[in-house]
Amino acid sequence: MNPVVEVKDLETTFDLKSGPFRAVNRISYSIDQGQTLGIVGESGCGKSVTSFSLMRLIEKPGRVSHGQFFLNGKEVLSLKEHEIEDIRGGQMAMIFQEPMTALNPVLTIGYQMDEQIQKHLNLNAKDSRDRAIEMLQLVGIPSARERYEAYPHQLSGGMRQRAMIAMALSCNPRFLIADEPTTALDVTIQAQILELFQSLQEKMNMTVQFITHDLGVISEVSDKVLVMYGGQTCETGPTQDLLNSPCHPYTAALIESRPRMGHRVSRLKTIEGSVPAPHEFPKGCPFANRCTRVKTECWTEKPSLQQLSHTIERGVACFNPL
Amino acid sequence: MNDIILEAKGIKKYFPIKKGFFMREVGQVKAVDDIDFVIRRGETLGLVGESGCGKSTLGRTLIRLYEPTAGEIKFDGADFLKSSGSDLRNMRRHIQMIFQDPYASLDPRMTVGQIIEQPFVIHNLLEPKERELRVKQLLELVGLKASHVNRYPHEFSGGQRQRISIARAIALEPKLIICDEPVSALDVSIQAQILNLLKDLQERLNLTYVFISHDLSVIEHVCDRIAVMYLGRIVEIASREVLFNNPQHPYTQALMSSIPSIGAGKKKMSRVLTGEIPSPINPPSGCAFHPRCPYKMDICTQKMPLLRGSTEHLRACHLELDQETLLTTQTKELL
Repeated sequence: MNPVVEVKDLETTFDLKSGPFRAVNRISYSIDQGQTLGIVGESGCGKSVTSFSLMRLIEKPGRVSHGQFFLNGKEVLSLKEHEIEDIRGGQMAMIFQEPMTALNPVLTIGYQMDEQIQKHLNLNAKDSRDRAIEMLQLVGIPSARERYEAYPHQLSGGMRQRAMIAMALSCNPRFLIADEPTTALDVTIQAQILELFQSLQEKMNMTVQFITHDLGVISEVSDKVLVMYGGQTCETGPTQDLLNSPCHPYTAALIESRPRMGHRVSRLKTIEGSVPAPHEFPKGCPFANRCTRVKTECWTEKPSLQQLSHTIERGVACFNPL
Repeated sequence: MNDIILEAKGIKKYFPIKKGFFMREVGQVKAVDDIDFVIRRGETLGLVGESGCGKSTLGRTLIRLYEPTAGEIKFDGADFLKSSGSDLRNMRRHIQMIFQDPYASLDPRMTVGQIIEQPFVIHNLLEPKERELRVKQLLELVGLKASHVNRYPHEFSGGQRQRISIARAIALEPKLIICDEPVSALDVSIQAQILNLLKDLQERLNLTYVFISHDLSVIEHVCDRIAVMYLGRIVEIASREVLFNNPQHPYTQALMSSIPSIGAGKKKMSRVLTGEIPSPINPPSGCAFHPRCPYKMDICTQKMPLLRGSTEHLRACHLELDQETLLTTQTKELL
């Protein structure tokens, strides 16, 4: 069976005053039907730019400068603007981190949903209204009929996020990108949303790309993980395998620097320094200046993603893996 | 020396809601409602809860950034709320604060040197030469370079800015520091650096911390005692070991099981809590948690539960202890 999503050598460049900067540097991955890929990384690692590139939402000074993205076998990155509009919001949809900024504050929730449903499902006004209300009920919004008429500011943070999920799912997307969908929420609300998300994914057999900085969330929602740093893939593999035995020094450090409940240590391990500014990344491996296992070639050559000997599913880009 | 550094009794902070042309008061937000607790010298007391539970308001009330509506605060045995003038200034010297957002809490038009020097200027301490030396020492103490003294905040990353806030907070060698979500705005790898720094400074300078956070795993890492808050009240307070091994309030239990953890595996999540946090303008009757509580009884809708139990482990819940242990074990079996 072919994977639903296949990304090959994706490269996104921002033409800054100081010169071109590759926010995403030749990333490749694929996701099978009904599976979830988690993309993890800290701010500035390129995880959101990757998603925006796939949705064709990159704006100047940025551009997708290389690569291909196949959705159900169809290349998306070379489509014309009017062709992409038929797919975006229909076959593929996205949930954003900040529901307050992603929703239009002067239009009702219902209006924003109808717009999309009428375009992609070719329904008339009445049917699309019914569909929108049905979706709002599906995501657990109480008194959905009244909420349909509500403006975004009239809903709480958790309800807004539910409304956005309803909107994204209203046209039965095959591929959904969720960009930090629970980061802005409280933990008890986060648990509710993640649970909802999983049950809907199962029901609709959706393929999901889930982006977050929280390894705990990744561990609970994803089948496979891709760890990013400085626009490049550090490590990929099945979630539990990768989290239990990380091979890239960055993944290992990321796991150990986080306090874990029930595993109290007197001192946390740290990653020295901070993520460099766009033009200050080392020439070779982007992590070289913060890595404890750095070797001479790390400074000059970029490590490529290599399969690990014991399993074909794991890949790591490091000259000196753990 | 007395081992209690701060004692708070019946602290209330209500914010008025004003409406209309005459700005008549139409109601109150009970952000902090009748809270009692003590802070012991040298410990780290954690305040944990979700947004709107009043943890930050309580932190700000403790240093009189907000004047409490009612209550009593004793700092080092002296009445903090009644003091004024030079007494107050002298006390304030010993209580400092670190804020969540290192981008908003540093004046962008001042150099780092001026920022850290401010406390000495305000309290009129040290000669200019000595101040300069002290500022440089402080920068090095928090892991920055003395040569950074003439730079501006925008030249630093988030983690470095938080270090500057910390240097400013410890400048006058305070006894108590209120840390209001000091690592929430930072990336994971930087969080660990700041948490370690706070721990080192506590040992070196003999500091007492009040550590406010919504993140239970961070709270577990840094705190000796923990108070869990819900809608303006403390619902449970105990030492770290006791609270994490034996959480008794249903809200604490729910909070703990909501935290996603590494290694748990992709699992079917069991919904732990339904509903949302109610508004503090119009809190539910009786126990504020009852609309979301899985063990709700009739009494919960009528009567507000008071904190009870041993001094080492207090909780505000109507459930009887044995009944509760029973329920906890049942829940564990279900999970």
